[in-house]
Amino acid sequence: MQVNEETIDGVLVVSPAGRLDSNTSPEFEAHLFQRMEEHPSLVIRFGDVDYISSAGLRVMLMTAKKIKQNGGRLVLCEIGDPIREVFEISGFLTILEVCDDPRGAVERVNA
Amino acid sequence: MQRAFRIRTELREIPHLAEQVEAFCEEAGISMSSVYPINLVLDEWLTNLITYAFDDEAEHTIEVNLCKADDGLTITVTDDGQAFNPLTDAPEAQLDGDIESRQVGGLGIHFMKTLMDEIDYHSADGVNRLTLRKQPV
Repeated sequence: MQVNEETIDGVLVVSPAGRLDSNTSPEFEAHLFQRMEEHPSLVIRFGDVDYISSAGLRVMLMTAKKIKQNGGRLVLCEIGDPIREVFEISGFLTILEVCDDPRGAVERVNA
Repeated sequence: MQRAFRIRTELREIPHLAEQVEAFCEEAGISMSSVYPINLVLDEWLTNLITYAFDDEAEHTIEVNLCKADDGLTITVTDDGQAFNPLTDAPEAQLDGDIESRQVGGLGIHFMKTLMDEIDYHSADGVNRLTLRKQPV
């Protein structure tokens, strides 16, 4: 799967593209866990994600758990419909920090 | 309108099937907003089957049948793996709790129950059949 990255005000913004499903999620999880070794906090941008299943949600939860353990902050952004609906029916919108755009997400991390 | 698809028991078959399901839905006049839930529920079920239901070395295939009628869409998934009734054998999904305590187990079946209108599961003589109905589409 393709993953783009940029740094905004010192915060790494990770943008996966395409499908986050049982095929691609193990690779994305490994990628994020590697980044977490150097970045205590992360922003993940969903603007280029077309599809997420429970396998992708699992990666978000594992990443959130790890970042919390490390004392960092995880903020998700640009979650459009219908992906937002999947987060919602999973009850994930109440436990994960979600912002509209990357800049706002970075501000939250740096707050 | 009806169409049958046959897939090997490999996870990489799922995105290809999703494209074919989307094409079927478009042809059958199913609204695009229904395509995501249909593919999500199929993906979750097929991922479960492919990951857990086949523990021998034999080759298996899974059949997915879509039938669109005036009263909605009927999806049937037929396999010859280990039986697993999503209505009785699956753990309840945990939908609350904080980040530390949350687990993801059971979410796929939770999606099925939330997004489909009817679920039926039948297993006999080594053949398992899940029937899902969604209406209107």
